Amino acid sequence: MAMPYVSRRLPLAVLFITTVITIGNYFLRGSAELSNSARMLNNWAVVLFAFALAVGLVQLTVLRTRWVMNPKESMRRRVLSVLFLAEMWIITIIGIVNSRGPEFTWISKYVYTTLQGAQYGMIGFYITLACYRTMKVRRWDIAIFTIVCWIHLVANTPLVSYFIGYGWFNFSQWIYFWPSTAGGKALAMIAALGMVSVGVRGMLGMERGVLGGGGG
Amino acid sequence: MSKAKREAGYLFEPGTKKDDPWYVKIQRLDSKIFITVVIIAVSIVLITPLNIPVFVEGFVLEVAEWIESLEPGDVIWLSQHYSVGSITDYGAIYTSLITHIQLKSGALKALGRDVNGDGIPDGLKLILIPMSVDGQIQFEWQIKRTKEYWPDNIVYGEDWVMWPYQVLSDFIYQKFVNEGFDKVYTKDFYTGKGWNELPVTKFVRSPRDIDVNIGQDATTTARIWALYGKDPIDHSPHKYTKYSQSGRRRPHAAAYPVQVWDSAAQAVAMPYYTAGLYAGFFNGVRNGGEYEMWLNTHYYIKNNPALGRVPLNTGLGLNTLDAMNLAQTWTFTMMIIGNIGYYYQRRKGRVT
Repeated sequence: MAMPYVSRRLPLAVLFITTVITIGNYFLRGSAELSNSARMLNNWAVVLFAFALAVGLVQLTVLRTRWVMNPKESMRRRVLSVLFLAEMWIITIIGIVNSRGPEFTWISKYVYTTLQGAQYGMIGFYITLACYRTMKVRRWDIAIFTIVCWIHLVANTPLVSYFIGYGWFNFSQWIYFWPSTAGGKALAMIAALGMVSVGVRGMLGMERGVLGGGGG
Repeated sequence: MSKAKREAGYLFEPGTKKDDPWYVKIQRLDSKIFITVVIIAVSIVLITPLNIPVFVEGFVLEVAEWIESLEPGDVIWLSQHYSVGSITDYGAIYTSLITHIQLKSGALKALGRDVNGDGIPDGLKLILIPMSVDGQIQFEWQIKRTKEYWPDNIVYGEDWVMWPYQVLSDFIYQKFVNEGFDKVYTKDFYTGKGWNELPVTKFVRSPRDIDVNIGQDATTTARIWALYGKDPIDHSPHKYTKYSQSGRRRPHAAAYPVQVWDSAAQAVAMPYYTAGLYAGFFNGVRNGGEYEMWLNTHYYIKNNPALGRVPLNTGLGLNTLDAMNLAQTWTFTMMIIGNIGYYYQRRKGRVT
């Protein structure tokens, strides 16, 4: 079947040109034309990202308004959606009008910061509970995981170092510096090879995942 | 809750039988009980701080000594990439860094050396860059908590400056290289002046002019600074030795980034650190409390011994460390008890 021009061939051509210029500029620094084109693409990326924020704002507004207007939705979802919309638009409008004014500062300090802190703080309780519930020595591979976690947990509790000295802590650091780093480097290399592969696929016009309908 | 489902009482999870043996019951402690103990432990130390003494880890000493070795006119880039919710994890590191840099800067400025020839004695040049949308709020909180300890000769615009948030840090770093800082930052956060109008920044043109880069973004700064920083990475094999990579670490790698991460991320950061892509690393709550303790023992308020030492808890680091101490002690103790229970359960052939 012939490949449609607008939905496939044109975007693939754009993807190909973008990838070639960006990667080419990285490895062949010195060419003014290539450098200017790469710079322009970089600026477009910043603009597109900013534009994506606006798209997100509109999409969320449409979705939440539909939920609010739909009588079949649960009362809980409708009330939460009203709160969500009010919060999102009040903060956006105040931020646009005067992002350094007392109103925006008050919201940032007493609403945003407090809620973010509370959300982040709550995770701690679940993590401590998960350590107790799930870290059971069921098999030898889980035993390695559990014992290493336990060693780090104890080592990162300064109270322990205060009473029993720093030998334990040094052992934990040895794990970080040697076995953990070896595994981490292997993972980093795999990820880097994956990125190179995506770049090559992009240059050859084989990377079609971004166009929808799966990759390949 | 019916009696059958809640038979063993509220200390245990629903479904635990009254006649279940101890090794089963110990594994079925109710979540509410477990979390209540954590809440009590954390609350106690926040109300009555214990400030348990800690030793200062090598990571903190490495960066602290590096800052101590800086000279008048040296530029420090301090960026904040994570959202404000993480302030409990990183707040103390940033307050300590800012306090330390300003105190050192004040001491250097008092020497009266004018390095860049603009007629103003130079200390350190601290550039604050919010890389998250709420980074400004975090910096303002940190400045507010520490400003009273800064030396009196530290002046905004001459010795430090804060720039507003710019969208998308990854591309912004490339933009610094392509177009220079003055094209990216046109109005500073407090006075609305341009990059080239302020004595603190007008001599800073590109990443090559920055001596210390401290931030939180995993790989972008490392990549950009490795390519365009003051001391680009040299991959010559003869520079490597078995245990260190001389020529790629402090102070030779002075322009490479110092990362501020949480404890959990240490494993992720280590490959970059050992490869010399990171010149330094801060490890969450623990290093925040330790840095506060280091500052307390090494510096006086406004560099004036008559005013006493820089107090602890400028960024609530030691208080948080106390809370972490008790919560983690409870957690690893319960991990042991839970595993002992599990071991007995397997020996008895019971599965719950």
